[in-house]
Amino acid sequence: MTYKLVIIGGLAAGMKTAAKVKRENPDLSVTVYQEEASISYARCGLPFYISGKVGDINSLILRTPSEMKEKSNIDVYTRHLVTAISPDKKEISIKNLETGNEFRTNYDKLVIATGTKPNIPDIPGVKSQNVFTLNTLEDAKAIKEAIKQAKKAAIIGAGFIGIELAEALIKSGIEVNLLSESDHVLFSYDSDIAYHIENYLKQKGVKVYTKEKILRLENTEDNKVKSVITKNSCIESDLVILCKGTRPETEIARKAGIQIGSSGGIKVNPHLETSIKDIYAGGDCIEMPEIIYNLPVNFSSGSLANIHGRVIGENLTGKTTTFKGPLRTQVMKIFDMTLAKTGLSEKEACKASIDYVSVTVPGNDKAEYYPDSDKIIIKMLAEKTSHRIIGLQIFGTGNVAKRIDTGTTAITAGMTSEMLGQTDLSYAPPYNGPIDVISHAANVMTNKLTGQMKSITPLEFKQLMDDKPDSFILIDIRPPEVFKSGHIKGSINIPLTKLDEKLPELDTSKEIIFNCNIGKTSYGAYRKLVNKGFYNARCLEGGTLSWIGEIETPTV
Amino acid sequence: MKKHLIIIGGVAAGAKTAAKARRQDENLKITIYTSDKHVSYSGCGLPYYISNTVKSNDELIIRTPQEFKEKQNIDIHTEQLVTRIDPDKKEISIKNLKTNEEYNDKYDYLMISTGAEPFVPPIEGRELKNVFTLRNVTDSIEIKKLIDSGSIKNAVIVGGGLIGLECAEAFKERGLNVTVIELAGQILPLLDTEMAEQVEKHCKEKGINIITGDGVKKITGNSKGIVDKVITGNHEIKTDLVLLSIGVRPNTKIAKEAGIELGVAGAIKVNKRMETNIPGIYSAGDCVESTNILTGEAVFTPLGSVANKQARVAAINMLGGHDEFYGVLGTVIVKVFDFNIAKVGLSEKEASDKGLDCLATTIKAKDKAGYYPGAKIITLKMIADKNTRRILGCQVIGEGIVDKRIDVMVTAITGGLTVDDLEQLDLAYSPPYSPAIDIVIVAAGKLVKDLSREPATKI
Repeated sequence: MTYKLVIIGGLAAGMKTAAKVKRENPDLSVTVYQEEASISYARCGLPFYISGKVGDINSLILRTPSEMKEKSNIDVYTRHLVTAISPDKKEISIKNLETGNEFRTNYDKLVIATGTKPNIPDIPGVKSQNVFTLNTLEDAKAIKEAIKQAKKAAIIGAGFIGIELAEALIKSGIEVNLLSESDHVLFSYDSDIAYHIENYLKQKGVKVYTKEKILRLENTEDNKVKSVITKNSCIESDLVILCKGTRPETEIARKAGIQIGSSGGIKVNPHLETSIKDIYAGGDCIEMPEIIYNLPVNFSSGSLANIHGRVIGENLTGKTTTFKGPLRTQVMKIFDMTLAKTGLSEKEACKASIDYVSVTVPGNDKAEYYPDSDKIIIKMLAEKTSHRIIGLQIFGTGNVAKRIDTGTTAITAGMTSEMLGQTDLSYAPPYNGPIDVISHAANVMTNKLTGQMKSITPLEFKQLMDDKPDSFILIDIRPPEVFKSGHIKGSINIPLTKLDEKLPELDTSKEIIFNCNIGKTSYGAYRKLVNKGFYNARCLEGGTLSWIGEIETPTV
Repeated sequence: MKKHLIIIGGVAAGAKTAAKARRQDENLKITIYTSDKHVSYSGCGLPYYISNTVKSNDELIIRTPQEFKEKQNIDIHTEQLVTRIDPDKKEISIKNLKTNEEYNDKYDYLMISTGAEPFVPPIEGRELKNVFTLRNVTDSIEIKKLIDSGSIKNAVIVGGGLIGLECAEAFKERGLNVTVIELAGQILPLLDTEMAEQVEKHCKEKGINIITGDGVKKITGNSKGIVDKVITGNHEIKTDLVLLSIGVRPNTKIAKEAGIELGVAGAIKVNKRMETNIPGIYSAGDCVESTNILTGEAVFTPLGSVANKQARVAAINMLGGHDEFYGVLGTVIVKVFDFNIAKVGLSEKEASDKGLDCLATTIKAKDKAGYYPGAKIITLKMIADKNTRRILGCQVIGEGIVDKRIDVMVTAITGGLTVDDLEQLDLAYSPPYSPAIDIVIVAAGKLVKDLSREPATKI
């Protein structure tokens, strides 16, 4: 059987579908329409081109239209915008962006892989010169060109791309102002994680503004941007990049009567079919239930787009393949730090009314004595009753990527904290300690879930400090010299070795909260008290290292 | 009267049991007896001390006896050899190795974490000076001292396993000419041959002389009793130092004499709660047998990570809680020069030997996005069961990032994931960390495809 397949969109999902279909059935006619001038390039690589890490932009392009024609007999039309789909006639309308010509073509099967479009804030001045978004290869070239002249940049929006660009611009010697209207940067993460990232960005020289209502952009007389006007300030900038996130590009789908989901993505079934027969959709423009709770989500991912392409390609060539759904794993490099997330954040778990427990656990990525061993911090979420792990957020200058992928696999397999704690992960000193930090985090989670450990998370403790500052005594149990080098504001120092002696002097009407470096010794102190029959105590998770407030260093 | 926990052995399992038990019970009396001079050290770190990667042996010591005493009120007696367990009297006999004095102590709970000791075959000349095994801190100090003296040039390592190769690198780093002799037809016999060959090639490029399929017949010495030659079936190799790293045997003599049941390779049999056949006596670490969760077989897999996990379970159970140790997958990882080498589950050969109906695929790919600076090639071999479509094993080697992929596979096998689950795994993607389609996904996808062409032959 042969038929005509038309694909709208020539990046990961579109080109993967085309390639897969042709491999399975070379007789099919496959045509791809792509709005941009290039196809099949690694969009995730664009910030690295801007930073100079990747020297040649062409190395990001995996295939050109002529290669697709020669190698796979796939017809690719670039600079061709699909303007309408007529499902009744099985026809699409196309505009050649070079010539302005408009024409129609028919299809037997259609794949929508239109990806996302950047959100442009509705404020005056966004059309000025030197105001950019970063969505396409051309955008990247334009930004790279503009930074040659630029001195002060404003990045509006502090999500993934905004932060990657902040790094790229700092490395190009430009002053960077990173502006967010939200309470914190990286809104898909919890605020405690964002706190640390924000501090780190500041250390690296990025000026970070949060809760900054952006009013307008101001121009020079020759229409070049000169400043960003916010409710509180005027930020001079000769380069502005709009990074207010993206939205799935679904306009033609919507107009064709294809069902759009609550997340804004095109609704598809597990075969990646839309609500209209013979029309499939894949990549960043779709909505699907995520695999833990079946919450409908739209999630951008170059790797999932490839998986979608393969699934659609198989379904178009006689197989029945399903896509199980995303977990929404993400990882990013921020200077020397790595930040990653999979599953649900605490914010999302709250919103979905899930009865969860959260723990924050720092640890070393390699054996502590091995050179370059470095700390990472893991925040893990599990269901209170089943102990199933449902989310991870991990960051640090150590090896984060391994732990997020291990966690991703564990969550996909429905593992509990007990199971992950015992998983026979690889061990040798160059790679980890004998108890890998992810297993350790799982063990701490088990301790908390089973009541063996009563602890308070950094977020909860911050809240308690604000709400009931007189309800607790914060005891730092580290040796005096360590205490002096920096401790949480308001803590008193009772070294662990003196605890027995000092215990009778404490005001037992108040809750005792123990703190140390990373939460390990304070757990020991907590157990000591419990074993003595004293139950009004908790340990602060993650210790001073994970603390999200002021660290006091007394001047000597 | 305080209950008394006695722990025999104070490295990974022993030290972990003590620490965990203290957190469970503040009133328990906890005593560790060890014949070793040191406790709570990283046995796996010893080659890195020899190579000078880790400068001081203090760094390998996680906690000293003094720290145990101060922080957790745990009493540690080093250089005290436990010679006998009397389960009826709940008593052990101890010999002070410094004074030869003998004495007894009574326990309520006993933990046997006597570990393993290097296997030394009865080769002529094994007692010569500068013939070593590497098991504890003292061994590493002696070897390092000899190399530091600058008086030696050549080293022979007998055994091409994990520790043998780690030490080959360490010795080479210290400027010695190194020869590795392996009796099997390949180094790292736990890998499939074609994977091991890549490692062998890398070692040779780094200047290591490798002899496989040949055994040591005799070690000879000079007039001062110092080793000077190793004689194999086919070679005579001049040497100043010999390291025997042929493997380890569980240290279970006193357990056996006390009537404790032994299992595979002479390791102590324990149930999932880490209890031996005698009530109140637990065992964990390199002296016990484990269950392979993939095959259900009893196996002997001495490893620091496993020891820690088992000790946690034992301590919980000992003091009134309940926990179970599920078992192991035989996961290993080793760094040899610029190569990272890892394996989980069964090799293709092992799976075939067991009569399993399996399918394997091997993929070579970059560890990061191809255009990202520093991306390196790794080779991944994945083996799946044709009937269940589950993963049976995986081997990953190369200069790129290997540990991440093996831990994903370990977790996938533990969680019972199939090739179909794996090929859609939502792994973290960003150019500095992986290509858009990670090698794990590529390999799983290939197996899915191959399985559709070559379905199971048995039902």
